[in-house]
Amino acid sequence: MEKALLALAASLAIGIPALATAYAQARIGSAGAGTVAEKPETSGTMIILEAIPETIVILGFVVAIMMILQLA
Amino acid sequence: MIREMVRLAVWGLTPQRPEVVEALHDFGLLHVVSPPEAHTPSKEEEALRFTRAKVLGMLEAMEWKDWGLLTDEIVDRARDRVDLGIEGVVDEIDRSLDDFRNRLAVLLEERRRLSFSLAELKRAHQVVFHFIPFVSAEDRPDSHLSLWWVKSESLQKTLFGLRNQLQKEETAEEGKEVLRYHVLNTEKGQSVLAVSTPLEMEEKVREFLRQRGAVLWKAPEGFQRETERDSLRAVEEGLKETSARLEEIAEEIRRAREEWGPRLASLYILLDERLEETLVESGSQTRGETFLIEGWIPSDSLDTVIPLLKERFGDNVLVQWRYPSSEEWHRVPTLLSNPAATQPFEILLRLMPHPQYKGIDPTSLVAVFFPFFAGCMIGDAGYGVLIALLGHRLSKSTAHPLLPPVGKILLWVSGWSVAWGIAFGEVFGDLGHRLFHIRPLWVERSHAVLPVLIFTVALGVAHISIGLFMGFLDGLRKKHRHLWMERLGSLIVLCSLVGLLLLVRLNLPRPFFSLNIILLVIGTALLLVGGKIGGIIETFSALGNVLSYVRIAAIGLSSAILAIVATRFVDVLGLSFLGVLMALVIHLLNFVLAIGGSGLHSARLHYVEFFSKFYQGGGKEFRPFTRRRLSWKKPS
Repeated sequence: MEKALLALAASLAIGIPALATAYAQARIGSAGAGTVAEKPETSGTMIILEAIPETIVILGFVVAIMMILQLA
Repeated sequence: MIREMVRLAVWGLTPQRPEVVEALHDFGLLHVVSPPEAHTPSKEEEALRFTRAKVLGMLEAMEWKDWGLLTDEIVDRARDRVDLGIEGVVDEIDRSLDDFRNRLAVLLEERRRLSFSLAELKRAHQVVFHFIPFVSAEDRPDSHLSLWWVKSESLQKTLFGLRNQLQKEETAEEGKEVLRYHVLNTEKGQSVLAVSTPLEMEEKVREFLRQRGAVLWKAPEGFQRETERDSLRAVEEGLKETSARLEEIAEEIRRAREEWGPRLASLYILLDERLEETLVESGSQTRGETFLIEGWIPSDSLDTVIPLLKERFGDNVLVQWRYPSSEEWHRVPTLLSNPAATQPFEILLRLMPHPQYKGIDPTSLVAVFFPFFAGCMIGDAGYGVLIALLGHRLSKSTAHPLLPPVGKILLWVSGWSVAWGIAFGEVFGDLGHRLFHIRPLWVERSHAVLPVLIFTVALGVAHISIGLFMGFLDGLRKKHRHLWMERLGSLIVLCSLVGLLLLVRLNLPRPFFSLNIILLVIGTALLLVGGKIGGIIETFSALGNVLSYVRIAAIGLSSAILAIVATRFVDVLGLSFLGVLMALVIHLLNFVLAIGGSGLHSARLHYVEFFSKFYQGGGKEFRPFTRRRLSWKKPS
């Protein structure tokens, strides 16, 4: 039972941040595409803005890995 | 590396101004600076702009797009033949262009008209093709034939009513069929109904069908004849003739495009160059009988430009130069100059604002870390070899100016991919292990996740520390006290935290603890003095940045597992066609994801995590006053 809960927790640790990141990137991406269409010189800034929410998933991944290692 | 610049001032006699400007244009080394006063366009300038726009318009009308095939030789040939500096030449060219444009306009207008007619004929041809046999069979002197547009939904009702109506007529001969018809259903809910009746019933049929909302079908204008059969024949012939004429026009335009396209494009470039010269001439300062042109030039180009000017104009020009003062740095244009090996990585900086003069050019560091990170994410010797082949192919490509540098970057990435592939023992996933019993030199990352995670965090600490150190140096060089103190404080705090972590993990002796605490206090003090509370927040952000490097392990892990999954398909489906096909498809998908994902994330680690520690954009790009060369692009 404990193992199952750990596995569930690990999946939630990466799943929920992944959904949050996807939502954030969708919003930033659509706004960024509009901005780049009007001002191509802002592409670099837009890539940076688009990439910022990914950190949440990376942190979620680290937490999930730590849980999985406990499981092992 | 950012090239050192000097401010150059060229004085000369006013009558010689056009020659001096032309010489500077030929040298192509001066970034001209014009005084900020409002500029009133001269007549020559306006004429040049007008003619240039006209040439571009003609090129677009001819649909000439081969800017990439235009060579320096073609432009130089045109330059030798046309001297735009001579008075009246532009007007003469303008008149010649008008003649040519008028002839082209006639052709284009005919093409437009015929294309419209062809579209109509094609629509009508659908009817012609369908009804020709029926019309031919029914075309008799004693019968009347007509074609009608009828709504498809009311077609059956209309036909039923029409048949009833005609059967009531006394003139109908006993036993003779009074109504013969044929139907074509089109896609838009409309049908074309061909009706053949005895001649005397013509009016009755017309009246009845009009009452039911039917509309008489007519051949397109210009193809209507006395009988329907002739009209249909005329449409068929018209379609062939119009298509043939359109092909002739297309051929004429193609010939004109091939013959005149490169010439007009060269003329466009010459006009553009002449316009630039005119702008520099009018932007120069006139003082009595002399003029002054100022600009920035790379300091190592002085030895070239000054002797050349002296050789051509002797004592009639006076050249002065000086280094920019620190107050002027923000106005000096920036020119990057890197060795051939690292130069391709300059394209990664194009997405960022241009670096400032006296700022830091991170190209060399990007050349070291970008392929290293990307190679670590891919970490497969088999994929590395494929990337090397792709990189080699792209580096030789001439299809787009961006492809050769991208190809060279891929070659660097492939080298590190192979190296990491050997370290992780991966050749197309575990295929190398299965076939050749290849063992990892370091760890098998699909099983030993933790060592790779720790390694990537260490990599992050090293990369961020380099970034902070560069920021510290930048602050010192610019004498920006707050900047260097904040960067140094962040660096010391980061090092002390890493030291404390090592202390706990490795059970190091007590003096190390005291040393780390002292470093932490010094670092925090510097942070508070340099950046106040913002400095502390910045340091926390740097810690987050370090963790972000875990993505190298995460993406690498997913890539390794996907490669193993691909090979497992052969286990599940056997060494069959389907098994091998599935394995190849998954490997291909993984390969594409590996290239795209590793490049994107590696770039992101530089743009977001690394550059934010030291890079300052906002510089001006060095744009020399030069003649168009192969680097010239299609005008926008």
